[in-house]
Parts: sequence; structure tokens; C-alpha cells
Amino acid sequence: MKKTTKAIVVSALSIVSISGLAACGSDTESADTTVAANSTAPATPEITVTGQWARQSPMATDMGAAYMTINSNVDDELVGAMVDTSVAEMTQVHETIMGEGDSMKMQEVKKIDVIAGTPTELKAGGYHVMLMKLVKPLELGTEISVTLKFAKAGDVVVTVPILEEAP
Amino acid sequence: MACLFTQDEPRVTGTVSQRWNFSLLLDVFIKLGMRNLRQTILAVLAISSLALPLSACSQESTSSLLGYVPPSQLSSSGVSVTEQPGGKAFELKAQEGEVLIVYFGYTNCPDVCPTTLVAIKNAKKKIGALAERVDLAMITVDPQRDTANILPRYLSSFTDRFHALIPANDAELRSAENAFGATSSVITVDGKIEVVHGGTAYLVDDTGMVVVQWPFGLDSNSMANDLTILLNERTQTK
Repeated sequence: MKKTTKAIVVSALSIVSISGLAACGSDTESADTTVAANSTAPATPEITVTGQWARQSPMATDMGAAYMTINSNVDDELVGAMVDTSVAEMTQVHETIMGEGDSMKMQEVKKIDVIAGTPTELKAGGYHVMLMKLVKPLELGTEISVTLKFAKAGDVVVTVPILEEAP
Repeated sequence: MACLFTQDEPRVTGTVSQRWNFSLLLDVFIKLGMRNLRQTILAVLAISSLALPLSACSQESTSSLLGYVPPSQLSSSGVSVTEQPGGKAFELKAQEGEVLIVYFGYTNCPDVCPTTLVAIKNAKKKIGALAERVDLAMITVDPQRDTANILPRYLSSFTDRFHALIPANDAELRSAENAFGATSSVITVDGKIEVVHGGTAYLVDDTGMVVVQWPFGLDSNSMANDLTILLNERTQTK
């Protein structure tokens, strides 16, 4: 009988310790889930852009970046972007890629797949429209016009406000 | 207990398991009936095993920091990088009672670097007078392009208190990176300059110790939280 009670206490000890540890266990980050809207694809491709903004360009640099969320009613591809030469000399679609550890680099991408009914996000640390050789700094409170080029929907012109941070 | 309330999920797990622990212990007590000393000692041992993990949690006051607390002790004490303008060596540690944010980046970086620097700027706005004790040192990983004319002007658009650090040579950059376990490279691919750098910001205290690391993407509220904790800790010792 004594042996049995000892066993109970010992197992209680271990269970308590384990659950105690679990209580201070590492942070679990809840994944961002996006629910795709069900949509039947009509014949005419239609693009909706929301939450667009471009970062106020810091002094002393001639690089800028624009971000947005793209929605399409059909599967499409963003194949390029353009701004007026009065804004920047060159515009490319870029992606920041995470490498080993915390290392990251930017690279040009040929296209971004836009899946019907699923918002495609261009956001900091991921895809962005890169404005290179800015003619003048992107000033807070102003707007620029960005032409997005889609494989199916064609050109979509978006008015992009200059902000400090994502809206 | 503090650590049980930092995240939603562990909070639920922790509370439920502790209730369960107590009922289990009560059960054990009843079964034992406290019939002899040996059993009492064992029961007391069981209680202390419950108390131990809890006290371990409460000692980890750093668990309310939202950045990452490095398990190994990183220190940049004694490591210096050339500051511009002026060309003097800047030692990578905070002034007494302050916190120094050390960031490796480059100015031709329109996406990652400004995201972090704007978040730092806004975090400072959120902590009121404490912000006066927050210093920032940006070490460029691209010293060929980020000259003494460019880096200070770039940083001045984010904060009025900063150190523009431009390594005078490769060894200086590498020794600074090694202190933090950071890496970077600048290579030319098809005529284009490609820069790889870490996205982490390191918070260093007045001994040069890295007290917390902010991964890329940490928002200004989380940064403000960490700065408040770290600076209040340092107020008591100042």
C-alpha cells in the first residue's frame, strides 16, 4: 500500500512539474487567417485595390516603396507597375525575401499571382512596388498615381497617398 | 504568475492546469490521509514542486518584454564603429541609465529599414519623457554608398538623437556584427547592387549587454512596451 501511495505522489510530482512548465511555455503566435470569399468568376476581369499607400521617403535617399491589397474576381497576375517619370525614373515589383536567421534581401519579381477571391497583400517585408531614382522626395500628405499592369485586367491606375506608416 | 498572462493561449492552458494540479493534490492528500510523517513529507514535496515552476515564472520579469531575450549573453562592450560626421570611434553601449538601439541597415533600403525606423520613432512618441533616454545607432552595412553626407541626413528624418556609424573598413563592420551575431553582404549581381542584412534591432544597456532583440515587423506599441520596462528598471538603479 505504501508503495502505491508513493507512486501516486511521484506521478503527481511529475505531472505538476510538466504542467507548470507548460504554463510558462513559449509564445504561440496565432496565425493570420484570411478567409477567401466564394465567388464565381465572371468573364470580365475586375481588380479592386484597397489600403494603398506609399512610404514618405526619408531624406537623403531616392528609393521609395508602395503597398496595397489587390483583389481580383479572376485568377490574374500583376506583371509590372509604372509611375510618371516626374515621380521616379524606374518602377519595379520587388519582394523582400527572408533568408537564414534574420537575414533579408530584396529582389525583383517577374510577376505576383493574384488568386480570384483571395486578397493579395503587398506589405512591408514582402511584396512591394519599388520606386527607384525618385525625382523628388515623397512628401507626407501628397499623392502619387501608380499604374499597375495585370496580365488579364490590363492597366489599373491607383491613387496612392503618401503616409508614414501603413493605414 | 506574470508570465501566464502575457499571451492568450498560455494563459488559458496555465489556469486550467493549475486548477487541475490543486484538485489532484487534494485528492492525493485525502488518499494519504496524512497517516504518517513519511507521507506528509512526500505531500509537502509535491506542493513545493507546484510552487517552483510558478516562482520560476515570476522571476522571469523579462517575459513581459515583447522582443526576444537572447539566451546567450551578447555584449558589444569595447566594440567601436566610426561615427560621422567627426570620424570619432563610438563604443556600442548606452549612456548610464539609458538604452541604445543598435540597427544594421543601409539607406537604399525602401522597405525593411524605414519600417523599423518609423516604428522606433513612433514608439518613442508613445513613451513621453522616457524617450529622452533612448539613443539610436545605425551601422550601415553599405559604407561605400552610405557616406558621411548621406547617413546622418537619412537618420535625422526619423529621430533627432542618433549616431550615424559608417565602418571605416570591413574589419570594423565585421567586429560590430560579430558582437551581435549579425551578418551582412553587399554584392553586385548583373550590375545591380544586392544587399543582404539582418532585420533585427538590438537594445543595449549601459554595460554593452544586449538586453532584448526586436525582430523585423515588431510594431511600435510592442517597442514602447519594452522601452518602458527597460527604462523603468534602469531608473531604479540610476
